Amino acid sequence: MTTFSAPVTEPKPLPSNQSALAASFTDFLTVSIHQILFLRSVYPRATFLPVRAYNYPVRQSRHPKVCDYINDAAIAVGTEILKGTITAVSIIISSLRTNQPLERYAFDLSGFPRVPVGEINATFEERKDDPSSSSKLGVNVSERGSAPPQTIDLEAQFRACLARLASACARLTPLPRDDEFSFTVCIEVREDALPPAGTTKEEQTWIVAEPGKVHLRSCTAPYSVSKAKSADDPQQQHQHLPPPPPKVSNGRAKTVPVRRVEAGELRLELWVEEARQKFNEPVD
Amino acid sequence: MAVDYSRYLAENVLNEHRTVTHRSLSRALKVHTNLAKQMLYEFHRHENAKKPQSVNATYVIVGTPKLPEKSETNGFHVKEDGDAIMQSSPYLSSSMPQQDAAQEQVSTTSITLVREEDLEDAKSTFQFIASIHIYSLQPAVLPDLNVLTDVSRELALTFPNDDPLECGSQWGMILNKNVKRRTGVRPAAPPAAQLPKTSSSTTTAPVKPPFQKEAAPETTIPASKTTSQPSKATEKTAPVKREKSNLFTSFAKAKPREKKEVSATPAISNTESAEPSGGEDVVLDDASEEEAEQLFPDTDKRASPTDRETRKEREEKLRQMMEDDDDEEMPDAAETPREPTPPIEQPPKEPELKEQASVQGGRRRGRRQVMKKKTMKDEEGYLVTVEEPVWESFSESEAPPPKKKPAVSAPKGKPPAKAGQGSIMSFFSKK
Repeated sequence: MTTFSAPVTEPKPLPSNQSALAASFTDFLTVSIHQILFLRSVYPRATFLPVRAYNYPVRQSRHPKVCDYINDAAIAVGTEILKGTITAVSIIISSLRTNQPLERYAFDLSGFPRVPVGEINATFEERKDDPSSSSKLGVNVSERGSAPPQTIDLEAQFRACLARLASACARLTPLPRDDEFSFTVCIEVREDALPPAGTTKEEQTWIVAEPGKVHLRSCTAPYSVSKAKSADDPQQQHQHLPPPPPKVSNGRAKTVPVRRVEAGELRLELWVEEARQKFNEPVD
Repeated sequence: MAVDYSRYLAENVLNEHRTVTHRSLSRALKVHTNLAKQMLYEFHRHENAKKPQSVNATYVIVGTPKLPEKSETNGFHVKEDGDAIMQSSPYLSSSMPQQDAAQEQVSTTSITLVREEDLEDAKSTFQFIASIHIYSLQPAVLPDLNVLTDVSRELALTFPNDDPLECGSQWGMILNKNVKRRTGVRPAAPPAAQLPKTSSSTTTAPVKPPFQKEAAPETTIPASKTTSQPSKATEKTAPVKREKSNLFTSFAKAKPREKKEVSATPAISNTESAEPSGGEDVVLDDASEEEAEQLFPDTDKRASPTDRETRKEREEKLRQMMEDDDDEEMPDAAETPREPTPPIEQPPKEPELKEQASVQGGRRRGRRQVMKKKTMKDEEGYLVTVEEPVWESFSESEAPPPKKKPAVSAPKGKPPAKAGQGSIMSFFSKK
């Protein structure tokens, strides 16, 4: 951090390799999770500190355990991105009283480039030139023959995303006041990908989600398996729950699109889904 | 005009869900901000009459807040609604009895930003309200009022070419009639009082040793490597400045070159104490420029004999002054050599420009450091604008001693940093 009087920072260049891409997305994910928790008042608003991210005022939780959990989740997501297994990340807000998911904030990452593990530090330009990789990626590479110059400001895109998130949340039905909520970080993996179950304690960061908990099927991968991030914090643990509620055929009652970000190789979509349970509609 | 504003607001607030402040409205429609405030008010009233709660507003209340009734303190609590709770800390003075509290209180004007929902509550906290006006309109309640700052930021981007001096009266800016823009190049900053510690420049070598010893105990810079010469010869000030810029070496790629030059000079001068010389040598080894030696090998010799005496006198004077004051900063004087102060001690401020002027033969000559801005990328990819002092000659007589001095000071700056004694450098070394 410079301490000059007026540090002028030009837009940082777009991430040029997969690891940079994963890093910028995990940063953005961390900021977004904090912001979502604030906007929906999952934790008391007084526990959030006004800070600045991407030159935009956001809120960050002050509770150390919350921060740690979110950081760990983001790192775990980043690991999965590098493995190339993720199609979507979602934040699911559920009621503690009824154990029903109420809202789902989905980041669709199916547009992320899929890069073999050995090439995560190879810039996308290099990979494009490499004939072996282009054959793997097929059509996509040729389309990006002339990559647009890096005039797209990633920071501005993230800023816009956060601003739209705030206004989208304002349009949602407020969460029931007399209830407490918790949140879960969920990822959806591709059908052909190995589920991120590890053998060692360190690797076991993800647990399999119960289908009833994640009520909504992802638009992009109808057959995906949903996993819920395990947490040390007992408040956020979903492993020992009563038997799942009756299946819902389509839990989505209302979808509010937030924003699509396209900045070079970083393509993601963000939307909000509200569950029927939120509106106390009868479940099928 | 009347139709335009409601169309503009309908588009932005209702369709695009953006926040519109009276400032952004006045810029967009090129009207006075007071008119913009009225437009906001009208639109708000109109739309909410059509459909309640379709448009949300934030207000600004200006007035005198009510005194707290049960005041345990002698001060005011100015409380703002919303997220930004800024309370003035209670002024507790044990020496002041409570009954004097009322007499001690000064009148306060409070400017409060509140949401529509909290407007009535906020109004009730005021004893006297001078004005209320709408600050912004948005489609829904803002959970965080801080986002209003983003509107201003966007304003600067959307209207970059609006010169405040020209359009200010249109917008309702309060302008001083006598203000006018400067033309031409940015002038050199005035000579700085702060003398960064620099290793003695080679030219003042013979003069330095006696002063060095005195300087050493006086200087607080922990880095012993950079000798701070209390009396600064004219050539010294250049290196002094260079050393200051050494603080920013982690940001500047060009710096090492100057440091190089600095280290080149110590080689010539033997007045340096062992440590500084060692430090400089180290820097010399580290930096790999050869230009330093090539560029200024002659100036060194040229300057030393001629300036020695005047420098000596000046150093004496400087020393006297130094011993009188406690702090190490020398008063600004165009022709007074300045004492280098450890840059590490000072929080990283802008390096003050040095001016070395020696009066010799009745002619004023010297080098002046001009701040030039340089934008470069540091390790993390941030584009950093660094103000670097660049020496330029302003003398009417001979050419000033060139950057040799800066070079001398530059490496001196680095060693103290490397010594790790200055806590400030640890701040930068992380990078």
